[in-house]
Amino acid sequence: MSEAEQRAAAVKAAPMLKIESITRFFGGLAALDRVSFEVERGKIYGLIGPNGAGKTTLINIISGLMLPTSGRVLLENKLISGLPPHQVAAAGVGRTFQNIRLFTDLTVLENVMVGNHLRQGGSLIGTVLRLPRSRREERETREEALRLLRSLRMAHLAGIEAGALSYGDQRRVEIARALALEPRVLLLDEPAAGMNSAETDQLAEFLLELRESGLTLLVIEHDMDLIMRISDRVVVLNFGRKIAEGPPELVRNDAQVIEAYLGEEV
Amino acid sequence: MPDFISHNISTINFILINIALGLSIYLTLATGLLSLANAGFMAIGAYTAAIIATKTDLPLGIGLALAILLGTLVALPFGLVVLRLRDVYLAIATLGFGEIVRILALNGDKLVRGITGDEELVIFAGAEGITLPYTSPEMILGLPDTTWPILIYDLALVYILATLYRSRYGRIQAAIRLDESAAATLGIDVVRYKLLAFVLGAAIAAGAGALSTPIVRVIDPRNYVFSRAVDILAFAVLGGMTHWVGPIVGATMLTSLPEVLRFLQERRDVVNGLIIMLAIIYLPRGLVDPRFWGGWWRRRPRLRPQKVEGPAEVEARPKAYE
Amino acid sequence: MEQLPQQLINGIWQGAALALFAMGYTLVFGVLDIINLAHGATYMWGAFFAFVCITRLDWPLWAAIPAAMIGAGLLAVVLDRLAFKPLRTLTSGGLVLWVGFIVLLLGLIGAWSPGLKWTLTLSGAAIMLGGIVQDYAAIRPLRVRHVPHLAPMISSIGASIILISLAQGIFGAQVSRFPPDIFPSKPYTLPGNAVIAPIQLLVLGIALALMVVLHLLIARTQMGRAIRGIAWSERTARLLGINVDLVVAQTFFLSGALAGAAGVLLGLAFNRLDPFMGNEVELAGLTVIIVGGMGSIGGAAVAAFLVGMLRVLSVGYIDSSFRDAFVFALLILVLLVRPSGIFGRGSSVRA
Repeated sequence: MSEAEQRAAAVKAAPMLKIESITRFFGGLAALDRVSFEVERGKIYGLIGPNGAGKTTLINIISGLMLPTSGRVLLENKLISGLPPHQVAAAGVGRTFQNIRLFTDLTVLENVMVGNHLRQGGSLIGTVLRLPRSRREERETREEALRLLRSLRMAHLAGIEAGALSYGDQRRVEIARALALEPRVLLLDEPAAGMNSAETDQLAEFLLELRESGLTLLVIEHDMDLIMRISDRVVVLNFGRKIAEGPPELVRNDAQVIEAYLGEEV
Repeated sequence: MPDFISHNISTINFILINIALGLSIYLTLATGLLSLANAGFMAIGAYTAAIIATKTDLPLGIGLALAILLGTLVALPFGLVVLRLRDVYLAIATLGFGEIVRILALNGDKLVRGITGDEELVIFAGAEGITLPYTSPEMILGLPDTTWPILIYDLALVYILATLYRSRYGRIQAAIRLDESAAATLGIDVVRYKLLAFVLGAAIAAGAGALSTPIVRVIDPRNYVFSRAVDILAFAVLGGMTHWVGPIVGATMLTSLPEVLRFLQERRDVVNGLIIMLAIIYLPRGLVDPRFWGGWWRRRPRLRPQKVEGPAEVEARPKAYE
Repeated sequence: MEQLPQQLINGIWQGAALALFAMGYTLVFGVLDIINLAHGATYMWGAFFAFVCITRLDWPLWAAIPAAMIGAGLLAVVLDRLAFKPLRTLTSGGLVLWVGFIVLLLGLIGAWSPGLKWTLTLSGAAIMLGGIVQDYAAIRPLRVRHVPHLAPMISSIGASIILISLAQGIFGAQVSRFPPDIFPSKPYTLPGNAVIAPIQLLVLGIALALMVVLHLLIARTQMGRAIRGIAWSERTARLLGINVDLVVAQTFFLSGALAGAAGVLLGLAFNRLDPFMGNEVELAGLTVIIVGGMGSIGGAAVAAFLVGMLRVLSVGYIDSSFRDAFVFALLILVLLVRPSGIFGRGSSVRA
């Protein structure tokens, strides 16, 4: 094998996402305490734990919105912790938020087009002079965003202001916006929150489809049925520590996990 | 019509200048930045053009170009320093910036004399200000030759800003204004686009300052104090800061208002302040709100909101990331 | 050029007065997370309240200072109701207050006959009072709002420009002065050939006393606990049964009273009052609260002496006209190196 091929093979063998001993303090409190795990390529990982376990903090750290106090995050062996959030996104990490954060004044199509902007070149000067290249790229971005919406069966929402959508649709649009980034890893923070059971079923199908297409997903969710149904592997956090990791059926019967959830709905 | 123009030419000139200034602050506001530096950049432009006009034989066009260049060169490093910070700090730093420009203009001669050792030198003329010689304006196609440059400048700005508004730059601006950290997680280099808006705004303000010199003719530091920055802010706040038509409407209304309300002329600032407060409290999107008016002039029927279920809108957004 | 001990003394008493101004500033920021850009105008009005008490009403100085503080404090409370409260919650009382305010302004600035002028002004004030009472009594707001984060700053800029313009209309744009015999003027000589005027000693004394009082208020009283509670988390404070509306009003009163005290004291010490005096102290005050760490009262107090010293030294040793340029340089330096302030807690602000 040539050197380049060897390197390519090494990258391929590397985990998609590697969390290495991440610790994060807030004041004197450890929100995360030496959490480590690896996320395999093309799999869905569930991230569960009681409220305040540090799940969202971990996602914030992976996506670069927050700095870890110590520890590293690697994306295909490339260090991404410490990078500003836009560079993490450019490296291939997309995310959604627990409390949906769409650009409410923009239409659904525009939201998705913002997600797609990294793929759009065109300089400032070119845009101002309305050079053919800039206009073509604008048209292509629009078409691409529409294509994405169509493939997600959301084309009928394209012209509607994001803030005016129903709750479930907002969640789906936020995922679409993150997908427009064409990420390699998608971090979802409680995607099923506020959805009814029919919507949750649809979401589950949708996430499985995304996995089929080769995407890697890390999903925070309180809905245990959903997590157990879609996850290839589940990581459990409690008080900032990883207390269990494994296939859903094993985790479900883990004594520590049951104890952590005692008093909470499982 | 020609009569109307010639009678009100000074008001028209000021409306045109103020439109350019309103557009300069719109760029930053539409990106979610409160910058009060525009009066300072206007001063930089005005002094540059006035010095070129009094010390050289170069035409106004050169003064304009140099003013824009200088505004950009000052805005770049200054923006790089302050745009990394939270909005509050930006407002404060830009407030200070205007003050510093004023102090420098006031004491510029002292500085230059200190450097060159030439005690007779007069460039900035301190508190008296630079006075440009009066030349009676020539009429070209019904408008004085001092009005044309500003009119063309405004039209060029409208073209540029309207183009940007419809491009990905407009979308990115709105995204940063609406949710900075969500924008960052989509790969938007927030600081870079903020800097772009800030520097463009500064360049526009400097250009407006340069083009205002033949009209105001006396360029003194008092013209560019804090209350000028507030004037400029009022244009955008009243007109609306999410669409480029907003500051145009705001500047036109507020500049012609004193003519209409002559009996309040003494206390114009009170009216300005009142309009700013009323607009931001009871009309936070300004008069020109594309969301509101869009429904009126859009041809295709708009799907109106189904009511939002669940707690999504009620829940306040966290102030910062933590 | 004067010698160093003299400069240090000037820096200390001016820093003490600046501290009063900045502590009020940072107090409001700590509780509500807003920068009240009308704080400088409140400071100016405080000085003019004392001026009116002394020159028009012939009050003695010892009565004029507290009166000015109370006046400025009440002004700040009304300011909050006009400029900030409607951005948090809209109430019908708030609307009434605004109607009254517009009537009041019309009375004050319009070219009416004296009779009509007074009728408008007084009825405007009466409507405002009714509005405030109704606003305070309101149990259910019309609407709880989430406005853009720039809104409070913009709103307070509007308020500031109104207050300055009104002062200009009432007192004129020129410099006003207290009667010269208001306070003994023979300076004391200190070691090192430095001198300090009695008025400067008074400024220092009152400022230090007020700083101690504020510290005790915040650290020891029920009200101080409530203020700290809201600063930490408004939602939690509400859940604990704290009357947030009342505490916000108290905070603005304290903040305004401190600004008013600073205005009177510096106005007395330099014996010059003008409607724009607030602008001069605004930049210095903002620098102080940033250097001190936004929201930190103790930090502001310490930073005020630093900035006061810097101002005095730059006037004494370099050039008075560049005084604010040095303050600004410090501001930029701190923003650049340590945006959380020299005395503030570190925070991870990222963009």
